[in-house]
Amino acid sequence: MTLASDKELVLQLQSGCLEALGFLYDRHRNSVYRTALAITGDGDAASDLLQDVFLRLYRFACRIDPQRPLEPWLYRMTTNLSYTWVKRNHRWLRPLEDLMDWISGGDENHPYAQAELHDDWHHVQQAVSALPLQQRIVVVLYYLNDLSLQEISEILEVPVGTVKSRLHYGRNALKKSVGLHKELVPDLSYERS
Amino acid sequence: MNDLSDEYIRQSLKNWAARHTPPSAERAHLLLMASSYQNSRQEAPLSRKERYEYIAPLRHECLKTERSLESITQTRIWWFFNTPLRNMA
Repeated sequence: MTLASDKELVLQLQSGCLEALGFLYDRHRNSVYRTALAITGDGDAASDLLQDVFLRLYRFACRIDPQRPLEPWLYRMTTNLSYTWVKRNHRWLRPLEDLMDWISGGDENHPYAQAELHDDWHHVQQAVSALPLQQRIVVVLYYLNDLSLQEISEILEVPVGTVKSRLHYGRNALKKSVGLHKELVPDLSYERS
Repeated sequence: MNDLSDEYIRQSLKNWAARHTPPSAERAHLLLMASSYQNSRQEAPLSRKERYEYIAPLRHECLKTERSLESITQTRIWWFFNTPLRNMA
């Protein structure tokens, strides 16, 4: 790992330094991969999108302003590519894939998968996967990446009100799916301290 | 203000995500792709199919070398086990 800041690494990247790309990859790969995985729900797709995001970072490094933080650029690229992937991936193929998994035994017999199936985490992730795509993206950016409404609004290039609305509906759907008790959930003020 | 359900959702998602990490081979693949792009200065192919086609000739070259070495080695082994030398060893 390097102690160089993102800004310094982006400047090196702009002069064609491959090593800088490796350092940036090491630093941000997990957040990019997990964001893509939470949106697409597909490990192979998340790996592909991870590659695409960093290849684009390399190709378009000269267009990036090193004075500004890099994370919003990475999140924007990840969400855009994930959105396109989900839209392209035919929904009717999923039941067929599930059927094939069921016939072949799938990975569910694996002890690790068995343990995950009984986790609350898994239920929440399943509920997030079932959300409409635009709500899912906002929910992932807000809860998983700890971004503020303003940051999400800038990344997605939509008004803050739209982000609030998507988060509100997404959150309500999650509450229903996961079975959170009403009394635990007072009316929400979204701004985080 | 964060309430309990917000925290529950946040922690659950984070815990779920923490279990997933990208495959380790992806880094080398990325750097290979980037260096190919740097050398060629052409548009780097981005789709999975394109990427495979882009990498495939490189793999093919490696395999060709490996195969030629393999055939020489196998021939020598065959020759060793099928000549009187075997009895002398």
